[in-house]
Amino acid sequence: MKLEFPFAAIVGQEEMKRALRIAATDQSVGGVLVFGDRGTGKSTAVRALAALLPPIEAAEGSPWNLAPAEGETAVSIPTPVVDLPLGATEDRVVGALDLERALTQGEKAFEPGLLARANRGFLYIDEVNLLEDHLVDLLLDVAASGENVVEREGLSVRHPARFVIVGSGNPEEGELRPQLLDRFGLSVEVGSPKDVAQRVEVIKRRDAFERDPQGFAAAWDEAQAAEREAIVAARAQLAEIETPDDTLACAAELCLALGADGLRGELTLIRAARALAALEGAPLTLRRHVRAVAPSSLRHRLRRDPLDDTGSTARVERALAEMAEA
Amino acid sequence: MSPRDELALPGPAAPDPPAGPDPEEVWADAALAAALLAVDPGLGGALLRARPGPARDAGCALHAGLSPKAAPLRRLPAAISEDRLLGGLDLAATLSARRPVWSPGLLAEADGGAVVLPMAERAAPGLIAQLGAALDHGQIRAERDGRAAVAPARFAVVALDEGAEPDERAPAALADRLAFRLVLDGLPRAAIPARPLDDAPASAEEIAEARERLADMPSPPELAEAMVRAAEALGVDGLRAPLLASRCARAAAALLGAEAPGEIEAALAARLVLSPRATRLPAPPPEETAEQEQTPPPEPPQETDDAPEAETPPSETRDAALEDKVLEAAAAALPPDLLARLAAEATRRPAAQSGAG
Repeated sequence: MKLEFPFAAIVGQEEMKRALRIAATDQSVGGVLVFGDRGTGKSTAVRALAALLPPIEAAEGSPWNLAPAEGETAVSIPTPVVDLPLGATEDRVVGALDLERALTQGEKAFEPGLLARANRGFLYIDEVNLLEDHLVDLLLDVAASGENVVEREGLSVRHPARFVIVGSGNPEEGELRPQLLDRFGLSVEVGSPKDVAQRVEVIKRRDAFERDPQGFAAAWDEAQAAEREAIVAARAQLAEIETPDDTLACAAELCLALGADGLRGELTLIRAARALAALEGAPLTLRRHVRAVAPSSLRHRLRRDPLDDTGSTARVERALAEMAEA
Repeated sequence: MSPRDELALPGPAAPDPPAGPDPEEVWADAALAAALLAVDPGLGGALLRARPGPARDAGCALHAGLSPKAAPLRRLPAAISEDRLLGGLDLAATLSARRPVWSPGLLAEADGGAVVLPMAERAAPGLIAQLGAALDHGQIRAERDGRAAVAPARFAVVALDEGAEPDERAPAALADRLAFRLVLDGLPRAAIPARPLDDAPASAEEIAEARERLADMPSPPELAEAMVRAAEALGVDGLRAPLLASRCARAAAALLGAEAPGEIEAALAARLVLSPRATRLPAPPPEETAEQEQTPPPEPPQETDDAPEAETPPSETRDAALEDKVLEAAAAALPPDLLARLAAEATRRPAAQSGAG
């Protein structure tokens, strides 16, 4: 297996890393969209997160990574991160007739697809804006219901499919439909570091990694372990964290001020804030947590205002500033 | 008689915006780029802007001829189906063998060699994304027709941009990943050798030797830093360009028989890789004056504390002489259309366009 660039060694890109940590801490936040120019390390970061995540307990041989039931042998497997590559055909995504068995043994059997393998994990879509429409619709359905229903080729199968979608892409190459945008919990924009010293550091680390992946990874082992432990601890703490009323009010106020569509924005905002509090080891979700995650939770849900040319991120920040003054 | 002497590297192009580049130098650069690509296909490839004709044919012949004999060369048809590109079920073979038989896609077939993409300016986004993924990861992942297949696909891309208008260009997502950009349009017949391979900067044997030397070629941190700063000064976006430029310098050192990439190789790489991507004349970076004193080391991300022992703060790895040489070489070879555009804008802009110190 190809060694991935260590998550802890990524220079800068704080908003993106934080969003990925939040998504890893609380699945219900709903997934991350990473948009940015080519060469900004989006794919690197998302794949790096995979290597970071702690293993899960699954029933031995379960095609969709189900938690072991009473009496079943449990195995520890890495958190599934499944790539949805460009050009994937629907049969591979949802699962289909096992072609080999049908041809060689004349048996009808279900071969699980990518959605099965992604259950309890992450589904990563590179170049998400190039995804074919029918696959988009399919993913939306499954993401909403948490279940994959397969009716094809004489098969009738349903299985759990709960996963976090992480998509990366370049906004120059095509817009995403609003329905798909809204499905993502958090969105982040990344660009090349502006600071020359940072750019030099990125290049140096990248170079060092390419020349000696093993050595480089080993040097970052401790930092990686620290990241992993932080996420594990945060997951454990999540249920204990209280969200006081004034934090809830702050979130509601912000969403109202921005005219963010629907309740999903508010829910995401609160969940993300709570996950951030958990990652920081705080016992309560505070207003400052809400403010910190506001741009990533809301920038992709704002209705376009034809009279307002400002970018979405700027609008969120402006609303935050106005609230602070009030 | 070292390869260095034989190569007779051309000097930097004359810095006069109105005159076009010297056709012989353009060809020499194209030939050099082909040789460097043969030494290190990890440089991604080359973008040749040229309509079909003798210049383009000669360019392609050079790329094909300098690669190792056994290396596959595949031409991507303009409208290629995903099946043919990524591989898919071979229906006839499957039915006759009574078990699934898959044919590898064209990209997997090109592993270890090169892919030629004509009409690059019209390539579909899906195709560009697949090529980009293969260039980034060196493999193709296909989930199609009942099978998951991961196939190695390490190849260089020679993209032929046939655009006529200035805004008809090969997609940036592809161009960004290819080290070299060459404009062969308008080259007079006289500048194109009748037998490109005979005049090539290096023979196939020399290239093979250079490939061996490349494995042990050091990668000095000053080199990377100089490239990043030069790219910054020239307004080159993204981080791939400086990475490719560093890589190119190492390939040049291997080709020239040098122990390590030095000023000559760095200047060459800057000229070939950075100059074509420049978007402005070099201006001193904003913090240049403050950097007379200590340059603060870069902050590693706050939440992690451990940095690998190999880290050095930039003030120890900066080589000012190298940086100057690199920037000078790159600035001297800026593309003519950029210079023309900047000259036209000169009346609107304030005058601070001094060369970097």
